[in-house]
Amino acid sequence: MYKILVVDDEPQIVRVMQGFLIKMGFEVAEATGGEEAIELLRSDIKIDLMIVDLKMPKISGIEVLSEMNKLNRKQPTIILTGSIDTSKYLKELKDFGYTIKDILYKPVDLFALLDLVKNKLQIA
Amino acid sequence: MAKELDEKIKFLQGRINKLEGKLLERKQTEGALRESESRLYTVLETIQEGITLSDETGHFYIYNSAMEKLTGYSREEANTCPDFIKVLYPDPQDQQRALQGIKELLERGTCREVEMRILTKDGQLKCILIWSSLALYKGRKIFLSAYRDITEHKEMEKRERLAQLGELVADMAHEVNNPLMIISGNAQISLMEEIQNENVKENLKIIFDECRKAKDIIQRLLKFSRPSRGELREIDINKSIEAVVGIVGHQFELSSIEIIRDYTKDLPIISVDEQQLAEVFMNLLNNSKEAMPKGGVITISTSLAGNFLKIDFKDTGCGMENEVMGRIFEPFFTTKEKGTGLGLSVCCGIIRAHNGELKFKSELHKGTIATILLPLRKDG
Ligand SMILES: Nc1ncnc2c1ncn2[C@@H]1O[C@H](COP(=O)(O)OP(=O)(O)O)[C@@H](O)[C@H]1O
Ligand SMILES: [Mg+2]
Repeated sequence: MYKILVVDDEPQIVRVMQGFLIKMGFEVAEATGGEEAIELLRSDIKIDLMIVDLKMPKISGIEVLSEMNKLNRKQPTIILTGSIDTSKYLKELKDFGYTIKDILYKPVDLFALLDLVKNKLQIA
Repeated sequence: MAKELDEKIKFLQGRINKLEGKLLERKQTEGALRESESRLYTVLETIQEGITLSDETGHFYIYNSAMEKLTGYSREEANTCPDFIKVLYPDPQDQQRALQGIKELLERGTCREVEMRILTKDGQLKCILIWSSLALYKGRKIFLSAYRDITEHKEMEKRERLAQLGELVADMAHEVNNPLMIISGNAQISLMEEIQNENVKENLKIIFDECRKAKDIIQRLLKFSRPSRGELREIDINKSIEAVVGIVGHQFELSSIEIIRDYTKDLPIISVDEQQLAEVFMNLLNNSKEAMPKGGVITISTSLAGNFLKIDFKDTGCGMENEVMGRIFEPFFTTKEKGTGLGLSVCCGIIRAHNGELKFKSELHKGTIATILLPLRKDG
């Protein structure tokens, strides 16, 4: 079973995605905020895919991505954002090797999320 | 006898001297007068403001070059044009205020400054500030007026206001996205359950659908407020327009709207966010369609205008009043029952993000021309 790490500072968003992904047959690890995410990334849990919100207080999505790189974790990642103006982050995201195709805009249609998850994990 | 003659000569000599003195004096005053006139002329011709001196009948004694530049009309044209006030101030409300100003001036001698819109000879609408005062000239009352062009200033104010509004809207929209996702997500999850009650199922579907609509509105709001060019691509503008026309063409035909293409061939390739530009074309076309409920003609033309690529969308629709024209870029401003008032705000944001310009010309009951100017050079 694939394990997905869901990161958002808003607990209800985490809950919604978690509930949905579990229903769809995934295992879910949750992190409410960047700190928890980094803690999990530093532990030795298996993560097959990460879904991370860009704009979070204290530790942002970009910082989580950067930490992930440092830890040499290479799982595919989906980026969530509430603003269409990602141009601020786009350069940094590009430096990390992400493109517009890796970004989903809130409010996210859960089935669109599912499509992208499957696509990234290369499951039909 | 000789003595008498002598005295007479002396007398005459004296008169001649006096006359000469007077003549010299006069010459000096005339010179001074000419000098002062030329100084006045220099002032009048150098000053940035339009200056006029006119009487109650509307005859202009002075109509300086700045005024000619401002209005496009020469003094002679202004003096011979019947009803010049109505030609210059096309807005009846402005005409009313002009007359009110003249009345106040005659009664009290002073007048507040008034802001008016003038229509120049070449059809531009300019915003001007007018100060007037009463002067006496050969015992008659005449008006001295100064006119300042504040069009640019007004535009800037408007842009600043829109930018501020944009910031606010962006912050708000951002805050709404999370709750919206929580609502729609929960509705989606609930819909995956076995639900016996059809009503409950229907309710959940409605919640989800409405969330999608809200998302749509917010996306447009965000686009307006934080216009950002996405990925730039080199495109042939005619092809990009054609792609959009291809999508809506049939639908427009059904509404008795003919689309005439007047494309200039071999225009330079430009770098744009094609998707966003398509949205602008779509919005402009839809507005034209909505302005022609009984059908009509839309003419799309492309051309080169200096360092810009120019795209015109011209319709034969209802046109707009000045009041409407002044507000079309405000978010939520709409005259339509089911309008969102976001179309043109979004368009304006997108074009601005391309360092371009979006302009409108409109005549009530005749039609409207929307003009997009896009800079040819990448940096703009
Ligand atoms: N081609 C046009 N002809 C006449 N009026 C127009 C045209 N385009 C825009 N307008 C006016 O501008 C207003 C704002 O347009 P827009 O921002 O697209 O919002 P909406 O179409 O939702 O009203 C319209 O409600 C209409 O009054
Ligand atoms: Mg519209």
